[in-house]
Amino acid sequence: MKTLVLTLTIAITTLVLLTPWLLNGAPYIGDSWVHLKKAKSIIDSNIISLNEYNDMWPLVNLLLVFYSDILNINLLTATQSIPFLVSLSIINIYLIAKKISNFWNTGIAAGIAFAFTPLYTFITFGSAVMKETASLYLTTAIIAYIISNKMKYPCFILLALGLILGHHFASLAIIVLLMTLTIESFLDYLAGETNEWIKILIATIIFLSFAICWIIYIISKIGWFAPVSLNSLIMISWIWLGSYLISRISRTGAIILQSSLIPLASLAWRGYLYNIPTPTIPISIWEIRDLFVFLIPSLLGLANYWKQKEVRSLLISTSTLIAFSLTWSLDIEGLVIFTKSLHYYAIMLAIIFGLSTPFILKRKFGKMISIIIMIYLILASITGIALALDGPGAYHQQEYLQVKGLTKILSNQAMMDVKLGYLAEYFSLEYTSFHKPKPKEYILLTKTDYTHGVLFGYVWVKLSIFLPYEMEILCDRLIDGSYVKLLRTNVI
Amino acid sequence: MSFKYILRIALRGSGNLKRYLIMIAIFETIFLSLITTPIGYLNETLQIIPKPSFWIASNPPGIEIDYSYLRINNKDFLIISSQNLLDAIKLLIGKELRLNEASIGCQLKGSEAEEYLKSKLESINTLTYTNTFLDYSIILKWSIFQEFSKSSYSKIYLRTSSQDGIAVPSAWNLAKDLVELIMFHRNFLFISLTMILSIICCILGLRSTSDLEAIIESLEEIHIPRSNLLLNLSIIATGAMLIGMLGGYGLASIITPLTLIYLRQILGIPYVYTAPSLLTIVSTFPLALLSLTSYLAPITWRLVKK
Repeated sequence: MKTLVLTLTIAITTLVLLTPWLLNGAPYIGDSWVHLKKAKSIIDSNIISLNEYNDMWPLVNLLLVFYSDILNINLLTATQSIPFLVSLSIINIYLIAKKISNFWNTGIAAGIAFAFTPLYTFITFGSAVMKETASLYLTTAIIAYIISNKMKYPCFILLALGLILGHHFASLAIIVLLMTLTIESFLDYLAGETNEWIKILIATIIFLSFAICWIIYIISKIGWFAPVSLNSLIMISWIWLGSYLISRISRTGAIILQSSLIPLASLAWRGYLYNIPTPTIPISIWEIRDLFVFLIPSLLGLANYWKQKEVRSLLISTSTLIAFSLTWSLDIEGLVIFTKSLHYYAIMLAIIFGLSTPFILKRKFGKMISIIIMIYLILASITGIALALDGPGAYHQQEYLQVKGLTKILSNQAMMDVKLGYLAEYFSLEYTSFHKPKPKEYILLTKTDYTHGVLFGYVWVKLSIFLPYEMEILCDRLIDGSYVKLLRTNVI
Repeated sequence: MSFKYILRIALRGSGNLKRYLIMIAIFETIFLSLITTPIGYLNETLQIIPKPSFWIASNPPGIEIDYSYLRINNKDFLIISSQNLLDAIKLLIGKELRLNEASIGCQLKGSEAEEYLKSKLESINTLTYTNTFLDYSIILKWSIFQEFSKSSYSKIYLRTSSQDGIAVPSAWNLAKDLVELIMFHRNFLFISLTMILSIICCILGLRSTSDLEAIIESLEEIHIPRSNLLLNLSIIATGAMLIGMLGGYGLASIITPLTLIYLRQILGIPYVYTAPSLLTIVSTFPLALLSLTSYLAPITWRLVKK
């Protein structure tokens, strides 16, 4: 029974993560094109170059090359191996929740909660082809392995090396978790419990040493990169200490902290906190209801399993990252850290949600309530899936093909926003960033420029600010595709 | 070995050590949040309000500027000049201007003043828009100014902000004064909070005597020498104090910004958070030391009495 349910859960989550590809026919999020180009260059040259930021965590590039080679498929299709790997992280989530509670159904509930969280982090994150996504399977695998009490150093070292070469922020999340778990185990040991705190300490030292060595190497190659700075590390340490005290002192403290962090995370994710004009649809009252359906069992699960050091460690480490991102700044810098932190925070939320299952199952009609909640979460997540599929980060096959077609025609430099810029770089098209147009200048526009606005880094600006309608109709319409339009300015 | 045993007992005990640690951490959080949050807002105010680039004084040193009024058809026009005219203008508007014998501000173009000057002088030009009082003024060369003002003029001295002098009233000065005022209130708050929290610490410390009874008795059962016991407990309490202090700083680092974000969302108060500097920990030392004394005193008393 449990194998069947687990298989079904993995199948559903895989399907969800592949929806952007299946419906839109192109990889999700602009970073995909960067890594596709990197992978292509590895295949062409047979050399892994470590020259710039996106080379320095080569896991995603290597995975693309690997799957493209062994499955004998083109690179574009091979991108979907990344969302597929992400969907397999459900197995790790299942293992973590099962280990903590000793109930298989908590594992299933945690898996479903992870995939269908009303924060919509799974589809927006898991479907993307990025360093962070490629590392998610390893991140969850390491967590599952550490808490399994069966840790062997050679296996741990392999996983650690994979993750360190995967992404810096995932490594940071694991470092914070390992340190917290070491302290928790040591305190439990002092209180008389027999545990393997020395083993966890050694694992922490191993991971930290590898991570530091790799970061030093990267800094020597490309210089400092955000958010690595002494100031940020000091700030994380203090926030960790505060978060640790609140979550360790009492169950109530931990619940209060989460009750205040979850709404903030939700508001931040939907663009309410940051001073950045992002095109987000306001949160509806129904979405708030969905959030409550998720939040109440999660807090119940936390209250029930708070005494377990694994739960507390996960709670403290992920809350630290979220609180740090919010405290760091409420502008673009903060948003970048927040989006990364949220995906690790979602793992913890899913696990504590799953841990509420034994409590619900013990009640009258518990089984039925549990199933209803799961189905409800799956249905409620349709809003998030729809937002993601229609969102500004979604690329469409037509868009891709139309820009590809331009490579043969367009010899002049065209002006375009960041979204198209990713595609242009992939096709080695010359381009400039969006600005006030000059006469006889080429402008490449895509559908989202009209629907959401022109993308500048993380900021969206209305197209009419740069190109008023009166000016646009005076432009020569050289290509008028369903997605991509190429204009040439006449009169300014 | 006895240290580990005592630490284990203290951790497992009636919660006295934990309570002490939490107490210091919470008090320090309150302390840091109350003292440092308003400063963040005031510092931000100082950042937002532009600092004046020059100051005006009635006495030297500084660049002398002479001014007077020219009456044309019963209307007074401000005329200014200086022996060091180019530097004075640069200090006033931050850039150099091309000046003739007489230059008029852009707002005076086509006015009676322009016609009058044209009838008297050969070269006159109109200045570009400067968004200052110069747009409404006539700038004259020193010799011409002497002639026009009939040697009846006033003097002021312009100084760069780095020079000492009497500050012009400005929003920046006002904000600076406000910060100084708040600094006084902060120090007052610091003293009052230290006193209040010390009293609470003392009461809690005295109350701990009964809680300690069980711990000390169980420790004495394993025949640890009293001096050793006292030393170890003191080390543990000092360690707890230090952890409590750092923990308090950590708590303030998470609670204050999150509360401020909530206040922004609910009440629309702008979110400004400046993390308290590490040195502020030092300011909480008196409080922590007092609490340590009030915690250790009953233990010592209990052991000495035995």
